[in-house]
Amino acid sequence: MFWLTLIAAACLAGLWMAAPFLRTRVADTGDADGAISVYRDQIDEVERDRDAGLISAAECVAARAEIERRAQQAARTLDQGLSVSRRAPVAAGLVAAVAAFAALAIYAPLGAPGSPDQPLAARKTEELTRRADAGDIGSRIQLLIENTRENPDSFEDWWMLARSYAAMGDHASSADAYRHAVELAGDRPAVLSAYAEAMTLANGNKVPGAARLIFEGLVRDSDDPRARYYLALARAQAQDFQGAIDDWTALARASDPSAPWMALVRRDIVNMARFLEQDVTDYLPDASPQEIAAAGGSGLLPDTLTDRIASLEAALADEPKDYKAWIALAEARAQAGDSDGAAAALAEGRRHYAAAPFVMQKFAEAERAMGLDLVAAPRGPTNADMAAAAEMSQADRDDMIAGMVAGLAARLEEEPDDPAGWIMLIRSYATLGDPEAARNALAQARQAFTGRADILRSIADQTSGLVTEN
Amino acid sequence: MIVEFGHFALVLALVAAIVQAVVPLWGALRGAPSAMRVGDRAAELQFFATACAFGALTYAFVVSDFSLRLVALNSHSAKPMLYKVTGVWANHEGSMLLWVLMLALFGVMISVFGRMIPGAVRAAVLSVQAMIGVGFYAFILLTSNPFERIGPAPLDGQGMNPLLQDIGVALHPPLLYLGYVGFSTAFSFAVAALITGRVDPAWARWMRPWVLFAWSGLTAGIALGSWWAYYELGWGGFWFWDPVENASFMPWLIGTALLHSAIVVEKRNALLKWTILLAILTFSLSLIGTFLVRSGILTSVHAFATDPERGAFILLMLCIYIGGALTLFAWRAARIEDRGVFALWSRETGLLVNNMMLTVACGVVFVGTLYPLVLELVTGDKISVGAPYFNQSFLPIFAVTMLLAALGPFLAWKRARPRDLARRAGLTAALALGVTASAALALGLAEPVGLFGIFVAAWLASATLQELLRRSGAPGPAARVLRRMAGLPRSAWGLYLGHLGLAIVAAGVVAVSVWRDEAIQTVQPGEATAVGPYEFTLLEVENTRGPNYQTSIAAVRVTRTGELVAVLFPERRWYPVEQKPTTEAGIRTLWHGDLYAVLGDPAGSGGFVTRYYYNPGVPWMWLGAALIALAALISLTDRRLRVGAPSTRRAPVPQPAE
Amino acid sequence: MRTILILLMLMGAPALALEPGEMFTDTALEERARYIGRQLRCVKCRNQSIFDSNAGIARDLRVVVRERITAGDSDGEILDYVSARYGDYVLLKPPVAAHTYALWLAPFALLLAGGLALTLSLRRVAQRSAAQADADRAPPEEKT
Repeated sequence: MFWLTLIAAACLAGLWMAAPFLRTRVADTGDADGAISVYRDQIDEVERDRDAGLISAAECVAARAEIERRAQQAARTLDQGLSVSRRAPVAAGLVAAVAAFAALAIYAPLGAPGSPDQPLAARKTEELTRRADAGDIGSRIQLLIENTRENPDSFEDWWMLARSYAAMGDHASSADAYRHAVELAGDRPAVLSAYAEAMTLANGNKVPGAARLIFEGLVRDSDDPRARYYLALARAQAQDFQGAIDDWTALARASDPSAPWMALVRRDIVNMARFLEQDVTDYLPDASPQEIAAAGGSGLLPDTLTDRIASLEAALADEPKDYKAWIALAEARAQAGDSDGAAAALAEGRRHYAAAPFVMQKFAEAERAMGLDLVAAPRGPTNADMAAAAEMSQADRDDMIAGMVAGLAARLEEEPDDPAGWIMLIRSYATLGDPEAARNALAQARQAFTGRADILRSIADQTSGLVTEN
Repeated sequence: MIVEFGHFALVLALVAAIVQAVVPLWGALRGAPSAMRVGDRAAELQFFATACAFGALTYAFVVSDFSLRLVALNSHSAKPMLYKVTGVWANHEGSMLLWVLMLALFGVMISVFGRMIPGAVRAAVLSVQAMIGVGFYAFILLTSNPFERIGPAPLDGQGMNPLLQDIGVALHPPLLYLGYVGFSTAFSFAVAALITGRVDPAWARWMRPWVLFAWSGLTAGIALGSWWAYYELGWGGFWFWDPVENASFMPWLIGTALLHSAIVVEKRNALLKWTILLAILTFSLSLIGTFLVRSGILTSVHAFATDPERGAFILLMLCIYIGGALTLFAWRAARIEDRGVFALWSRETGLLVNNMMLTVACGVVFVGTLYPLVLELVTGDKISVGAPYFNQSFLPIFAVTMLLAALGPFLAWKRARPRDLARRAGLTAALALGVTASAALALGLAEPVGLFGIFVAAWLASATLQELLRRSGAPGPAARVLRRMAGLPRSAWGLYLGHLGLAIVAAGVVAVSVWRDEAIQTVQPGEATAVGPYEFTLLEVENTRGPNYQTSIAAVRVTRTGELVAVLFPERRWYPVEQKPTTEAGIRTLWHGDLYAVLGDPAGSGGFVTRYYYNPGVPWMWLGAALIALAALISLTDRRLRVGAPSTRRAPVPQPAE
Repeated sequence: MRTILILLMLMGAPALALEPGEMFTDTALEERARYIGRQLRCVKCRNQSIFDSNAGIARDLRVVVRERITAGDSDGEILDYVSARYGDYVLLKPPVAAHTYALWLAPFALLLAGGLALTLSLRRVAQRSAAQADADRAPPEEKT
């Protein structure tokens, strides 16, 4: 069918072009006719100009004479007569056949004969299904979005969509999808509690008012452990630490020790006990020695811990550009029950890395794990001080920059696959006047991109002249 | 299977072009009318087939058929529909397809509107037109095939450079190509004239409308590109002397010369050879422009080597077309006899001087653009030739050209009186000096370069207006002057508006280059900044989403002596698919200049980097450019140029007088 | 200055060509900095001056220019300083030297050639006019 269409089109096209050969008589008037109408126009124009007073009568006569001279010249060629051609079926057939054949012959090797169009709309679902089955959450979400668009009353689809978003960490979209699910099946406690949890997570793990109302309703009607956990968290966030730890303890008691939420609950109890400087065994009779230590109770490892803290402090006094050491120090102090000390260690570390987002993120993670974010005073601005840099003293500024460069180096150590970062680092060292470090960084970068000539070349290009080899 | 039919249609267009190149030329040389007519038929088929191919490609972009390599590389399902369509030609392959579509369009237009052109001439012109086409169809099919398929098709495309997702840049290539490709008609007429040996005023009259049309398109295309750079690149620059810009500017300069010299051929049967040479050169420069941009040779001589097939193909085509035409010229030009007779002081001489100046100006741009390339190829030395060079070499030459352009219309055809010229030039000088002096005094301007520029613009404008009034019979009763003004031929209007437009562009360029005010700073919302006589205040910055981007929109209030003038909304967009930011300037156009605000990065503690400008004269540039393009179109509608409109009077051919 | 340079380098992709942080408060110095900036090419870009470019390398160069200005160099010294390090390629206005004589002479050569061609063709027209005037004065032989 495809080829038939093409052949028909090719033949038609060939015949269309060759058609003049099939006319019985084609005449051409020759060159002069068109030319003469041009000259006639020019004479008209000259006369118009004369009438308008733009040229004098004498000029008009001269111009007319000149144009007429040209017209006569053209008219002479008219005498050569008409050229006429007769019907030429052979020529017509030849042109048509050659054209049609050539078109088909050229297309055949170039084209993909018969391959169908693949508009996105037609193959999207099938493609997405294939990928979703292979475990791609993005594709699953795409599919589910399509489903919910087609069928907005399907609770199942909204529910799945919300859970997929949650798995991706997109809690805002997840909460949005849960809201639809709630509208369709609002009477189911699990749905409501998932919705409220998503709202909380989307809110940076701070329980918003609406979520609290839902959780409260759930606790009244059913015994939803998730609702109880978050209500306790909300109390902690409202600075009612004692109430929070009591609620968590009650939840821990009521739950099966192997329940999935127990790890989280226990961690929060331990952290909270430490802040409140209380004995964690009051809340968790079965607390492990580690938990007791972490909560600042009678430490099993006090000496080693004290030693460790001391050695970390000494090392950091020498070399403050070591964010892992700062985190270790904070953890050690937290284990020793010194929440303020832990927070101080993190704050001090932050100061040195003020302009390095990657390290700041590591600090934030550590802070969350130690529960410090609940109680520690809100920390100061991080890297919002670009403008302030101008007013800093030279020493402060150098310090800040050294921190930024160190942060960059730290990030590249963990995520070396970042050519632009390496270039930036090398250039920074070079500009800071530290050729040694620049050379080292270049060597590291080269190692990181071994065998990737294009990247190596671009690194070489962009750092040429900055690094002195020796 | 629309895509495959489109592919086949493109092949069919190639075949039609081959037939169109061979059969009608044979007919013209042998005097076989039916073979000549095949040219018209083939031109129609070629256009139809190319349009089908272009339509099929557009369809593929619209429905996001990612089984086409081109679509997968240059489109994305989340792109707004408008940019899916304009994305068709926002890439190499698609733009080449647009190029041949234009070429085929001009071919069919010659066939349709050129019915009064004698069959042999038309056949030869169509044949040359198709020869150009054959090369480009082959180039597309063999090295840049837009219908290449990939399998399996990816789920989504890679997107389009967000800088190109803009209506200005979307319309830029079609207009520019209208110009570039439009000059192919001049080339075809010139080569056909060389083949048939016929050059006369009638030939010039048949050719000139096409040149006017192409030139108008090129003017608009260049202006549109400049306008896009002005509002999209975010610092108010409008011309960079970038090789890509120069590539479009050179055909414009030579095309301008061609436009003027064709008038001499038409009116006075002089400058025949020169006009043919100009027609060849104009299109050659268009081809070189296409080559420079498409081969990647501009970015670096080495980029050329990364895709040698494509570059070599284009180079080969350049050699064949340009070299072939010039060889033909050298061979046949001797048979063309220049018969023009005119005095030293005459309009003809004026136009000859115009041609000389424009050609020299184009030569300077040509040398400046290609010198670094050639130098690197020959000696390996890398140098840059940028704005400072062109400003020093091109601008003086062009300023003189403009000064002379004012005087040209004062000269009568054939023989002018130098005394008339001197008198009118004196009046012009007085007027221009008056304008310059009053501008300097009223606005307190002192920069000598700027004042000289204003003088040049005022000189050209006052000379043009003076000539317009004189031709309308002034001084005299106002009613009569107006009536006669309305009755002036369209081509005269084309002249006046064109020159006036040029003066306005010049005034705008000078004003913005010399008297721009700018302020770059970090501000907090609510903070005010003085920019010349204006005060810009950042009100607030809001984050929202567009169809396929995220954006921060700022509101900037502009006041002058306490009175609100405008609120500007500059944006910073982020295109996540392409991972690229763009800036959208906030612009308010006043009659005398633009207020221009650009939003930069947040600068900590709630502040933002902002750039504010007052750009005087910028609106005049666009107005002037539009006027120039319009002037060409008005000239085109001149009754006398309507190709093939046979006069209603079917009177016998004027017989020898008396 | 160095401080600001590194700060800017580390702050990730900025979008604007000239940043407020770089600028001089003294307008005369700032004018000079911009004048020089317009003479220097951003090596990564296509014919953009460093003044107009937002590429990192252009910013480095701008800062270098400003440092040299602060150090009291003249405009010429600064351009020499930069081209000594990056080659002639960074000068948007190429130096007048052996390898650019052709470039700098081209405008004059073109004008000369144009003028010559113009003179020649006008002379030819004049000869033709004279010839035709003679013919016109002669008795009409066979009026065409």
